[in-house]
Amino acid sequence: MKITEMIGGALEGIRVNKLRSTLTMLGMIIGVMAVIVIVTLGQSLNKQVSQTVEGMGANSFALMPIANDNGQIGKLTLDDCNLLKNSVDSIDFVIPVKYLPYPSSLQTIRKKEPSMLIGTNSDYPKVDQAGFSQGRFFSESENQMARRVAVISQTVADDLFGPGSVAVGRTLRINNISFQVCGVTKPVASFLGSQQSQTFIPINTLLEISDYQEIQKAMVRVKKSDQLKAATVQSVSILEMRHAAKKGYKAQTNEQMMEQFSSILTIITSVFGALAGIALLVGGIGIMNIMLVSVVERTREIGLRMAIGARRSDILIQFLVESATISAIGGGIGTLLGIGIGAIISTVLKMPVVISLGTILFAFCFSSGIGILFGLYPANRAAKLDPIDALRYE
Amino acid sequence: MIIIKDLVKTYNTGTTKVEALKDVNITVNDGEFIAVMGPSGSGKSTLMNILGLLDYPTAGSYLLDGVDTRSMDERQLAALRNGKLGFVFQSFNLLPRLNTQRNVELPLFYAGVDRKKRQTLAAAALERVGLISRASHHPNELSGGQKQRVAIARAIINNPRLLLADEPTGNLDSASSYEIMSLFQELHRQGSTIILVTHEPEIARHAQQIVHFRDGRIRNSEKVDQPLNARHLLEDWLQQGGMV
Repeated sequence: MKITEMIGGALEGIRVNKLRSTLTMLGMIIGVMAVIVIVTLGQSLNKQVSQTVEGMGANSFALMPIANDNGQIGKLTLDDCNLLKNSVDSIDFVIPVKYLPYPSSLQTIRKKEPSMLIGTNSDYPKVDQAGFSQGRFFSESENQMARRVAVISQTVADDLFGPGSVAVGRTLRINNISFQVCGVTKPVASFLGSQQSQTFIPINTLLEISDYQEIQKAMVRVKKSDQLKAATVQSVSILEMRHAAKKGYKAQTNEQMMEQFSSILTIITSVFGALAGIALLVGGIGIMNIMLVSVVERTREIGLRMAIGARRSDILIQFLVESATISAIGGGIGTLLGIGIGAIISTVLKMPVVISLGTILFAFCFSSGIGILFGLYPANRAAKLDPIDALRYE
Repeated sequence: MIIIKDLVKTYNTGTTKVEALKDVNITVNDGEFIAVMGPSGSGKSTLMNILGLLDYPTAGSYLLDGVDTRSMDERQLAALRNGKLGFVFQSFNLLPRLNTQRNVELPLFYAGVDRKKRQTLAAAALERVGLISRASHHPNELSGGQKQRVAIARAIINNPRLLLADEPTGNLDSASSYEIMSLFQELHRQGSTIILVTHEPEIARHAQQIVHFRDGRIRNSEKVDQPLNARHLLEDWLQQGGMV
């Protein structure tokens, strides 16, 4: 009962000293806002990635050659992909991925653009659901016949053929070889921003024009999720035997990828969050400062309250409640602003908006806690005043 | 009843020792109205602080209602101040942020009385000092005399055993002073025990008894045969064309 009335009194004090209270709160507002924005963005990014990974399917894994302890690197070819698909029962399909390690040049009369050239088969859209703004992905027969067809991105299409014009059916030159555009993928905005555009062509076409027959990656999907583990082990051992490269392959499930990404993201978020936390600390010092001023200003009030029966603990609690109220309000405003700004940035970057109740609760409790912590010293000073001196204070 | 025996108060200010009170003995019976007079530095303020349980005596004893106050800790003293004493100060000491009614309620807040009961009691106390119409005003909207009446309402809200008034008319004009003194006399008639510190002889003569202090000692104590009647003085003063 007493506490609620003390909060009421504190709110009244804040109302009376509007400017001062606002400036004091500003520190808390900025600090909490910064922390919330960073945490919110971290969570959005994490969610976006996990959605992307889920889009690829939980039953998928990627096979990649890696260097073993002897420095030997496993080999991976298109034949390996077909072999895996045919010899392992649990495998639904295998998507071979080959890309050139350097950007290729896409050229029309109008312009020249660099792009990452990726060769794959017609199953690729099953694991990458970017969607098409024009046309379609190439078909399996186009792949088998090594047709010179290409799927380009919307931004590249706009640059090469002019914004808004139809790209499908038109011709462009990729590394000086003529290709026909069969589809245009929707633009994908990403937190990482400056990703290079990707151009997809049939893998057989890419193998034809490339000097090397090796591919970089095989994306494998199993029929049932409980077969995932066994399928990775099986696939790796088949490849190891076939190319006599012990430990020359890595199988990475989406879950592992996700975990890896999450742990990196957690570190980044923590570091930035801690930096933002410094703003909170400064805000807390601001509150301590203003509470010290307030104690001096209200010395006579403290003396009077003691004279009419306030215990020292009553005075202590009164001032603690005041500083906690100021910082909790600041924290509340900061949380709202932080969520708002986080949501806006997430929306602009086309990431999912994540509002976590836990974060809000934490920010609120943390800012109140800072108020109490930094209010402790001024409140203690108030409680230790001698009532006679306090009453006489001018 | 208040019994003060062989009270001594010494202050240590660096190297010199100041004896503010020396062997003071006073007994105040319930219902008495005593004025304490003396020049500044005579020890009357120190006595008030000790009576008000805001300060400890160096030696001697102070019995309030038969309770020895020497052995009490901070919490017990706060409770006694809250329940048995009422303070009226020269400078009113109202809290500017609170309205009249909430200023009056304040002692009950620390007594843990619930809000509704506080409001009822505050209204009753304001009624007694004739300021019920100003219950929602803030101190800065009141005259000096009104402020002091609010302060008196705050002092009597807990029905104290002892009302301590330290120069209550010191900041007031004549009309307001008479008003305040007539209020004290009214409270005295209703049974309150009052100790009033003043340096104005005329104000002191409103009490039943005057105790003169000098150099930390009681010099003499005189009974006032015919205390002044503040109400009559106020009426006379107004008739002579004095302003309120």
